[in-house]
Amino acid sequence: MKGTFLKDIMNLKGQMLYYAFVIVFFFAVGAITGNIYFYAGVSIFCGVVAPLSAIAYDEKDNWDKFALASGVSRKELAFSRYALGLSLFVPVWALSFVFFAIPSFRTAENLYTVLTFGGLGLAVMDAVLPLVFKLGVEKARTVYIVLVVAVMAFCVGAASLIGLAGGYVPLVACAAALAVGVIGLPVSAAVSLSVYKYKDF
Amino acid sequence: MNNISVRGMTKKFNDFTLGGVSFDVPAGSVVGFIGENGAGKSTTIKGILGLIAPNGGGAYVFGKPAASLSKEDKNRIGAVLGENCLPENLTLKEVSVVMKHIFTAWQDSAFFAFADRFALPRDKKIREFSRGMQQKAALAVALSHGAELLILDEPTSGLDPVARDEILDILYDFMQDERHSVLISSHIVSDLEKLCDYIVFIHGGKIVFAEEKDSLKEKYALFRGSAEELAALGRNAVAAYMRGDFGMSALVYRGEVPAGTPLERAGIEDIMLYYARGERV
Repeated sequence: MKGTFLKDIMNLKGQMLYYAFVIVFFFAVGAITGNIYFYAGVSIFCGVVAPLSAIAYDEKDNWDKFALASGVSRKELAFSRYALGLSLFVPVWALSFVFFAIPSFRTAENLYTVLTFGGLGLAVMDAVLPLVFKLGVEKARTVYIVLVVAVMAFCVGAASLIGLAGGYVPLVACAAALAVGVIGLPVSAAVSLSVYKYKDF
Repeated sequence: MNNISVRGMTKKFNDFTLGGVSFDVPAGSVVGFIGENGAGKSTTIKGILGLIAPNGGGAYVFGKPAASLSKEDKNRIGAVLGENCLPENLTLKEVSVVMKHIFTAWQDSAFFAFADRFALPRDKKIREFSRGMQQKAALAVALSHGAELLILDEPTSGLDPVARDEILDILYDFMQDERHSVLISSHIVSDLEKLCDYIVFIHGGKIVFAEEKDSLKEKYALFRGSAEELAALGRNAVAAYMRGDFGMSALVYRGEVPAGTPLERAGIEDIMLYYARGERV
């Protein structure tokens, strides 16, 4: 898996600068406006866009065929995409906690938001990767865009409702989002592996 | 001892069926896998490498079923799979770093020696290489991890004659070790005629023949004459025939033709052409 992961990092190094710019930009927007949602949304984007780009390159380069013929297992190929997604998503998401260094950000609502988006970021990755493996990048791209937009819309709506509900509801909602994202990860990986196992290259 | 044994491999697609393909690649030999585009060469090679799951039969590599080859087994195979399979955004230096983690016996020095021999720049991205350079880079990878078996799918396709000759030279060198063997597919038959010990011909998803190259030359010949002269040879003598503006031409079995009949030597390309396009008796 290390070889494939390294290859992905080298393949994407040109794009990393672009990702870094987007992350810094939205972090600054969040810090200036006092609205953490901008940056939290970017963390969801980051978790999926890197593996999606890596898979798009691999489809163009016929990498999977070469890797499988050279002794890389189907399991390693599938799991390396999750490793790539997590290696970008986790640090970007973790960076959200830097907001709490600013006193005005230290609210329960912001904490719930960051935790909820952590769970949702994982959940989007859990949903998108098996689809990409099954359908290919081009067909799955539309699903991915629709899913991210739907999640963002859902978040805005849910945040308003949860805010109105008050009490323990925000805490339960963020725990539920985290649980879905974390528990969904092994389930998603198992589905991806099963797709890869029977795929012809 | 066979490095590859394909036994009754069948794979069904919507518009094509690979039907019961069987042949061997003995250790120490070069086997040319010929057939027109779409005949089933790449599908068979994918089956051998475990890239597709056959519907029936299968392939054995180093005596093991293709689907159960370990990483170590696959590391003993060097594969070049037609179109470029190396990451195009990477330079050769970066490719070497990646391959070090793919192949347990990866040899940096061998890889860069091949790169120098092929005049491939180390710091240029692969996407900036010409098609010939990309094929050479893929071959350099295949030859730099101690492979005993090369499986090459159309490695010379799209290359100019000089580049093709260079690749054939490398394969000659590789075959100096008698444990090594090569399965090479191509529709450029002249390349294979120089290199191969055995020829496997596939047409329409089925194997037409799998024989020693030299025995093919002894077995087949070309006959040219009128329809009456061709008919006089007898049905058993004619493998396939074609009608031309000036009479008939046929691929015939030397052993079945009456003594004294004027015949021409049949090259492998002729044999392939008659089986693919000729009419059967």
